[in-house]
Amino acid sequence: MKTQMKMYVSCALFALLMNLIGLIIAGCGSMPMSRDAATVGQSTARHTETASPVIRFPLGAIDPTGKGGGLLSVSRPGEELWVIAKPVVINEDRNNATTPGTGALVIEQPRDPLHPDGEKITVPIPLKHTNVKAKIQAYIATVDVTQQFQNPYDSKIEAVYVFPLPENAAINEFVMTIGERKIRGIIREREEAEQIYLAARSQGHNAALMTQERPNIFTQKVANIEPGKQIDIQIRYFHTLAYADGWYEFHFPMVVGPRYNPAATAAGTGIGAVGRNKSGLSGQTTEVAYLRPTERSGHDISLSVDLDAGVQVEEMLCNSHQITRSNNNGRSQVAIAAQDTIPNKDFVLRYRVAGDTIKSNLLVHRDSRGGFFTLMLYPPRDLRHLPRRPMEMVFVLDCSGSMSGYPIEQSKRAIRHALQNMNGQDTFQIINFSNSATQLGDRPLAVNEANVRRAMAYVDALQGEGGTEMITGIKAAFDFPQSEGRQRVVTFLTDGYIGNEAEILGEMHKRMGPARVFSFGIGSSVNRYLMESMARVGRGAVAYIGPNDSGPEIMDHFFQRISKPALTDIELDLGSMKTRDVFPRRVPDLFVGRPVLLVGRFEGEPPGQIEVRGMAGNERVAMKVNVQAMQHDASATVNGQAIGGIPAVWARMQIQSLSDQMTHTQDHQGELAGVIKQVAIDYSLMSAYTAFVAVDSSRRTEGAVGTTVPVPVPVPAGVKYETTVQE
Amino acid sequence: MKILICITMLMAAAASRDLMTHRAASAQSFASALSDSAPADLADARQEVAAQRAVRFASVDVMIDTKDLPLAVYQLEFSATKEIVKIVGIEGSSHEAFREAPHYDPQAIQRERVILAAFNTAAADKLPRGKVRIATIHLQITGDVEPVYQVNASVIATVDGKPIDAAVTVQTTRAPL
Repeated sequence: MKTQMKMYVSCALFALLMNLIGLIIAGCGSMPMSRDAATVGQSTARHTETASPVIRFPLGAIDPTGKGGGLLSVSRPGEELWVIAKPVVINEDRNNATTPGTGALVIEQPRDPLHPDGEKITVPIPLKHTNVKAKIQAYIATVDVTQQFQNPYDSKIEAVYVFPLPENAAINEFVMTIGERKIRGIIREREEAEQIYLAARSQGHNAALMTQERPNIFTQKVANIEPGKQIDIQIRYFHTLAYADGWYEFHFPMVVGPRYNPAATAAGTGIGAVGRNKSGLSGQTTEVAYLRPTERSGHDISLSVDLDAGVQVEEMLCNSHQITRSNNNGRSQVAIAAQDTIPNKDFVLRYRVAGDTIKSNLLVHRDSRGGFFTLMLYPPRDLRHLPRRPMEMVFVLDCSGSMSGYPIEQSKRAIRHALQNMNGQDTFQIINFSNSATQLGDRPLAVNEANVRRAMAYVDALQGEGGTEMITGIKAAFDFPQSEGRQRVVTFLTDGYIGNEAEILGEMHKRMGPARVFSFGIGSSVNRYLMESMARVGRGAVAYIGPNDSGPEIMDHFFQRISKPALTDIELDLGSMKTRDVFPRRVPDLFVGRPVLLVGRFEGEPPGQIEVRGMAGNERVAMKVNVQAMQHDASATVNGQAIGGIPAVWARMQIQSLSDQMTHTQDHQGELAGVIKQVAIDYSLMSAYTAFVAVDSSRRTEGAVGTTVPVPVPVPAGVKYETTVQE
Repeated sequence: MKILICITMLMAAAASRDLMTHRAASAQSFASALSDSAPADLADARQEVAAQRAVRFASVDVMIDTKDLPLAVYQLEFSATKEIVKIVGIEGSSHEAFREAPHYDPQAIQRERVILAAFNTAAADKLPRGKVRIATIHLQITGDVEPVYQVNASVIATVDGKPIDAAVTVQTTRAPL
């Protein structure tokens, strides 16, 4: 926080400086302008709010004595003087404005900030509605998201919206709709797409650009939306559903939680969290603007799920939202109820299918490119008789400001339950971190009544405040000698609201040794990319505890999972089916209640039975597993090439696997980056190195380039604005 | 089936005015690039603005004339001079039956070729007949030289699979204000 404060002060000083320059230039406005002066005038006449992290400004041009010279004197005759201004400047003038242009359609009325639950100010924003339609077939979801952008102002705008999607989403369709016209976007290398977009925007064309900031955070830009006009962006993605402890889970994230960027985060690489109309304040290239507690926007969301599980759905549960449900021809239709349409929390739908019908499942798909498969491999029941090794349990609790309130209370309930259910032969430790890390004892404690009582008191006293210096928690969790003869199991309980994921994962990989990591995502809009990645890197598993979930119940599942040895060093024999390019490269360990998902290419015929070999504790085991081979719906084809899910899911998992390697090596521009780029382009997929761009070249809008307007979003349900958002 | 390639250049009367407007817009783009694209240094900024000045946008309508027969399925390949053209969007037909933006082959598009295909199994009276704009290709063009466009159709047929001896043409336009 201290660093962020410093950054704030620096930004404010810079803004002041730039205002001064603005005044100098304004003063020149009435003078006959030379070419140089005219250029300066153009470049400063319209600042926009788009984040512009790199600034080159001829500071030497400013005469601090005020005795003459000044800005314009730096350029000699015949030279151009270019002033590249940070967009913060204009925001200082517009902090309380509701409109980007000249006219205000809505007047902001003062409200009592001490009573945020009272009547709220309606803020006009350029995103009217989001519509989500999901279709689930077996364990693959096809999701269509339509974002309806509109311009509620009286001048032209560019809308910028930072939004989340599932971290494993294979995004491969992008369509811009203007009136009845539908323009399909093209996947391009990211820089190329950005250049195309900028050129189209500057020439007045309607254009849209979608880029990836994290595997679960994206930026949508829509240029030159004229007053009163609407432009829709439709995105299609595929993803595999999670399965845990008997339940399938479909989730759709609705808002990016406010990220904390530690002091060491490289400039511009984090994700900023700022108040509405405070763009540029965080110093990050990607910024999320949040509505204040006293504000609301008209943006709402509708979401429906068409579920074809293939077998009878026995039970369905949605703890996140009120839903309506109907059944039709063996399919279930679920929709968010009309009274629960504020997009401020993840939608999480869980369902359980008929008891004994769960078995390992092979989905195959063939097209002109060859065969693709996904294999959901369930843990064999035979593992359940095997005893486990004694453990060293390390609970790491995030006590930062974003956890303040019910998230930390949920975490504490879960830890208390865990403390009461530990095995007498285990040891334990509790570590909490915010600005720094502290811990219960200087070494792991034995599980006995006195130590558990002491731990309970320690946990009771914890509160959420301060920054999220997660690295300190990582170091504290791994940087001490491991107890001999015990398996170290580290559980992280956090909302994951940090902007330096790559650094966290890199450190974890470097330090974890033989430990296993289990991550618990706490809250209504968890950073699932971080949680899933931590579990993957840590060879453990992930679980989520939402506001209405039972922490103790989920902790029970965790204990069941670790109470039996995982099946490790797994090898598969798929008989006559010849496989290649299987991801993940190394088959993850199998835990009780947790299947693993493999994807790959194949030739030959899918078998009815496969052999699984591995180690359970010190025992070598081999077992036959029956598989159901199903042909995924491949009816939608173009040129004989499927536009269906499995090839896209395969390509997406390949990208994920390569990205993990990249995180471990911390090389983000090397050979791996090139491979990711090529896979993404070949399969028309969004990635860190590719982007979708769509331009309507048939028409130009009138007037100058529109003002950039970030779409402000509510803070996630249960998260406090005051402790998480920069003002 | 290889269909006659006919390139019809429809340079609107507004073309010269359009070019002037384009230059004016380029001047405007100067400020835009500076404030929005975060150039690493001045040289980058100059380069970026120069690049934006050097390009223009145009659209190409792909037309199919089936005469009296109802069009139910087509597959065709569109290409343009690779060195100066980038495909920046693909738009669906003006006719309801093919309004959805057609899919494309992502590997082909890297070489600025588009393989477009679509079908509609609706009744014949719901399908287009005669000359119809089946798709529009949106392009970014570098420089003032007009690209050469080429279109080859491999399938054009009725709903019962009967090939249609259709004429396939392209028409280019520059964006009017």
